[in-house]
Amino acid sequence: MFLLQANTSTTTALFMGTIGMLVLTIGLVVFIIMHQRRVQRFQQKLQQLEIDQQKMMLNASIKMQEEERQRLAADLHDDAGPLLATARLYLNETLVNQDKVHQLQSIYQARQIIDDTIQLIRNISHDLMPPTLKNFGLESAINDLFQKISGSGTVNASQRFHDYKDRLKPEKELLVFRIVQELINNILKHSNSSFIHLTQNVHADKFYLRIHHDGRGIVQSDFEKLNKSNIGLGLKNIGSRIRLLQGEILFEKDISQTYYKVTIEVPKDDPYSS
Amino acid sequence: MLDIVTYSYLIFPLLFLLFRTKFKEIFLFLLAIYGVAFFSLIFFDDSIPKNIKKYYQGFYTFLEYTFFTCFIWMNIRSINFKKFIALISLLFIIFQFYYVTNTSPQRLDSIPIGIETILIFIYIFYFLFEFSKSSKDVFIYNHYNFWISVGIMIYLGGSFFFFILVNELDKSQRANFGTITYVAEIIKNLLFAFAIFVYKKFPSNQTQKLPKNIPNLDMKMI
Repeated sequence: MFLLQANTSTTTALFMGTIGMLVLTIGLVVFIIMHQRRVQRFQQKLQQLEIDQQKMMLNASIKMQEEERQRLAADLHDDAGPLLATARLYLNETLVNQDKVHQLQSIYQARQIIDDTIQLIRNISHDLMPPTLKNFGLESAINDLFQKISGSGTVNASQRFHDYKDRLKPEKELLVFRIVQELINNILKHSNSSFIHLTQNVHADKFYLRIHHDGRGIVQSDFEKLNKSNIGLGLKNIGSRIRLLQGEILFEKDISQTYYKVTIEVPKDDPYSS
Repeated sequence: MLDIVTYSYLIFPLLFLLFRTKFKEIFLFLLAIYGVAFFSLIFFDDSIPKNIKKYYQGFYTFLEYTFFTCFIWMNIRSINFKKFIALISLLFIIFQFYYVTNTSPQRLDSIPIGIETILIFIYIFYFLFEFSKSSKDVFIYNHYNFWISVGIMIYLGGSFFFFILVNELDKSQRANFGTITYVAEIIKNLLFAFAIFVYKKFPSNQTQKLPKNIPNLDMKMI
């Protein structure tokens, strides 16, 4: 009787144990597959978000190009066009009016207008590609920009380059300059700050620029939020330029909580060049 | 049923020849050797003299543990876990040697089989955990070792309690429950064969990529 009972319990244990092991195996396999599918779905969602953001940045970049063209067209049409038309009128006057004094006066007026037009076209051209940047580099271009800002008398702008013996490549310099221009524009437009200070240095293979200001500013989370939203075109352009440079940008508030800082990190050597 | 189990091991060398596999494809070569070895072991099982049966059983368990461990070892990336497997395997072999030389002959070497099952399950759990953590773009079922692991788990899971309790069972019970282990073994061999097809179909999925070096993003302004 005892032997029979023992045998029955062994059989039950064997049966239940085997079933249990098989259920455990199948359960584990199903769990692993489900878990991996969930992880992959999450990855796909992330990739989609990244694609959307890239699309948004591309749109922002195209929109900015269009705006730049429109501004250029408006400058040429509204300023250079009327000036040249006026100069033409004065020159016509010299043909019609034979009075020497009038002729001289008209020629003098026309010359003045042509000089103004030359200056205007020079300004437009400088806006497109600052000659200081092209000829003397980023340090001089930023220096020029800051002198102009300080010249206005409302904001004290200063800059200090600690180590810029080896210039960045011209195309990189232009991108960095555009980022600085955009940041300075934003500070002037929105921050109501009394000073802007820019410092530069290099460390390891990286080039660093840091802009400090004492106005209202944004921190990294705001930047990322604005970058993902439909507003903040300028910030999107900064983002896409940073991406082109394969660099980093960091918006933060100083530990003393008295001013904001923006740090730009750019690799010194082009990663694509051997 | 035993005949089906025995001959099912010949699938692996046949597939090896059918695919005209090169010897440097270690997994397929190893699987072919595994097939030939276990076909021979089961085929000649009845002709083994009783006085050396326990050594034969010990050798069978040792060989099974070695092959299963090799299949998993090849796909584990963590060096530390590989060291752990090597150490545990050494201890297991020492224990097995001690067990075979110091115990009286039984129907099966239940204790080494039980330990083998637990160890192989641990290795498989680790492989599945590591794979699901590291590989985000390859479906786990497109990797051959997933099917190898499932096969091993079904076989060991289906036969674990039978092998543990085999010395307590009478003849009719052994016959009844033995069928379950045979079925599990056939399923294992079919899954191993399927793993060969997966290996051949998705050759690029079979190596786990190393993680990229993440640069130190700490910034020091002078």
